[in-house]
Amino acid sequence: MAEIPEASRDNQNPRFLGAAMSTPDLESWFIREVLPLEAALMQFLRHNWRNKSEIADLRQEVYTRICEAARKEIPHPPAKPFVFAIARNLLADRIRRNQIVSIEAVADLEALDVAVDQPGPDRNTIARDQLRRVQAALDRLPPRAREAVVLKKIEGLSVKEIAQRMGISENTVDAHLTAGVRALADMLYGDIADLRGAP
Amino acid sequence: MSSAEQIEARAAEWLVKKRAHESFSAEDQSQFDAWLAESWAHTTAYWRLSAAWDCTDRIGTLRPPRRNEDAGAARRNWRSTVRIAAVFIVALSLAAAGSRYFSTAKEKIYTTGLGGREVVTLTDGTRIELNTNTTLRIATGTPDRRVTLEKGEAYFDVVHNAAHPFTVLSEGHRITDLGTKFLVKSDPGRLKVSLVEGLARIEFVNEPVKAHGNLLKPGDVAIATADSISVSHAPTRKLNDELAWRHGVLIFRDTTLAEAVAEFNRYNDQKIVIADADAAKRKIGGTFTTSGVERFAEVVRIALGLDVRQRQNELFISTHTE
Repeated sequence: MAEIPEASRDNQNPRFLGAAMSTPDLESWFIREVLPLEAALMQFLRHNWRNKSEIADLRQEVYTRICEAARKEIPHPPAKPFVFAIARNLLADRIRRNQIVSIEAVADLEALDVAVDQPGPDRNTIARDQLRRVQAALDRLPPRAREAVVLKKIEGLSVKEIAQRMGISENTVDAHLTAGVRALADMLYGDIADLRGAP
Repeated sequence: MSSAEQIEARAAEWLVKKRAHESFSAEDQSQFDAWLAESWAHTTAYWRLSAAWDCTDRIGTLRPPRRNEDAGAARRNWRSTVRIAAVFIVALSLAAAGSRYFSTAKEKIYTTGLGGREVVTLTDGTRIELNTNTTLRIATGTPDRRVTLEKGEAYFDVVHNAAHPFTVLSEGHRITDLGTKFLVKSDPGRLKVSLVEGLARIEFVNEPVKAHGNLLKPGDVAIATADSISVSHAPTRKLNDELAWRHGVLIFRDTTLAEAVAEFNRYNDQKIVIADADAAKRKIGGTFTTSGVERFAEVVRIALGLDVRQRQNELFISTHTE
């Protein structure tokens, strides 16, 4: 899991100091506490932001701000109020910066407090649920991508073996795996409207 | 494409390069580090995909163990050890997250897609054959042998052990093996259990275990719903026909077209639709491969004289009207 090697921890880039902190802790916290909130976060962003083409960028910006804030000290659980406070601030900043004072947006931002206070499903439910979602997500991948992911992850074949088995080039296997993992992440963490290729 | 999507696409390329290929050079690594270090957007995009990639480690392998006899045995064994280790680690980290989850974390999920058929052999020698579109969970690490059939159909050939009974849970019912081969088909709200050999008991999950519950003997077919269990007896030949999927075929004898079509539709993406009630009542016999939709359609057209038309991915069967 600790994908960040020593080399990146003392990188020279002054704009990015995050990796200087205990990144493995931050990574496991991010995966354990933040990713399970993604579906709710996406719903919130979609509900409060009219330009749907910007949603993916907004999510990325929320994640960036979360890590910048959490790298000094990982917030005490639950992460939900923390994550949504950041999301709300981001939208407020965007509205100010764009000088679009949308009454709707402001109204919805105020309504957010209510949504955050509602207890989410407890982590046990999420974890159990997720096992089922992994299965469902695999089932719903495009057939060729699913085949490649299953051969790689479940049967443990090499890319070369998969290419032979499927009668395609190794580059095409890579393309299937790339598409497969992105779709899996959307189905596991995102909400239903994130699904690639969904109407 | 938004910048977030471009970053995610790049993160996915790195993930596949690093995690799916065996050759990730030191130079690749330093380029990857540099890319990660450029921004939190890169880092979080990679973390997110990497977590999704790791999630699939929790799905069990459907490969029957005996296949290990071939040349790749050593390598596959090694890989399955890694896989088991991965499942175990996930179970442990989930245990840390909440103790209540621990008991449910020690399960393996087995699944087949449309038209799929797989055999799982448990360590005690019990064989489970999964039919098309089936999902079941097997509890591991407990002395009690417990399987939950979430959906679909499975054939159980149980190695009996009176000290550790083998139970199948599905649709609110519990089937307990008393030395058995049996078939379980789970539809929403309806469970069908066909006893092939030996004895088994079926009861509601929320009832205490009774020594004299509904005992099933060979040939018995139990239909269980949310509030009832009824048992009837079927001739051996009918049971054998019902088990023909284990050999990849469907056997029909004097079967209505409606039933035959429903069977085919369980196995194939290409669905068959019967357009009128008269056609649905016609009867058909024969043996077909589960994927043999085209051949079935041909027989329906020629032998029954019905009209068969292809519309998009559906086959429409109707009585001639013109």
